[in-house]
Amino acid sequence: MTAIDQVVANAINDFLLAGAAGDTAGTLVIPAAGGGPGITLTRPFNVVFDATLATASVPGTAITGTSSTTLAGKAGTASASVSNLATKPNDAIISIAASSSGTWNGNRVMDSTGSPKRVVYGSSAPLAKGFASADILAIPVGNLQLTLG
Amino acid sequence: MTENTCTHCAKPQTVDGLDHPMVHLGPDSYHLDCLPAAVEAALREVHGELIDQIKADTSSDYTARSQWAHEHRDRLVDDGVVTEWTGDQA
Repeated sequence: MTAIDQVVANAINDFLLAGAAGDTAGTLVIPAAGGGPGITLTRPFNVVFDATLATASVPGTAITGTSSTTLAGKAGTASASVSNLATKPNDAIISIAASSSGTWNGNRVMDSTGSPKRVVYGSSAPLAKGFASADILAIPVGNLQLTLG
Repeated sequence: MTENTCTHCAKPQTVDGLDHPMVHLGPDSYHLDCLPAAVEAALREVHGELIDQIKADTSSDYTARSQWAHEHRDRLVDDGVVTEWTGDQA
């Protein structure tokens, strides 16, 4: 039996869901095994509201008009006090005001490089939440939860 | 589009023929006037202008909602976020 150490898991969660108040700039790097270029992600990370739910092979399609907001300041840091639970949730509501009507089906977290890289994505199930222009779309506290394992 | 039902008052988005602005909190939807106070307070930090405009609007057709949407679209174009508005009209 093997398990990831909680301290390591928390560090990885904080890397992948960089949403602490200070996560507004700079790069995060995971070196490649054996040396050479690894993965470089640029903060701030942004939360995209998708009309089409992303999958492993399909990146997802953003809703029309206003579709994203920064993650900085909304995800805190992973809790080291929760043993054997390698999770990290958002600890503030993440929201946008829609500038068009449409359907909200999922979310992605993207970095802010020139061609933004997808970091995490998904939804427990497609929301299929229809909305109108000037409605507010909001991810409740704890719903953007990243789990290792 | 399937019309949403308010999680708090169980009434549809359209009440007495009026299309009420809503907040979609994950799978739940609320009329602005039905929002839990803590949620409204959190949303006001980001969307206070919009919420105030809509709540202050006493017209029968929610003119503020439409007005805000059009002004917001103009800002998106001015800011270079989009070059031309092709989405649905309010």
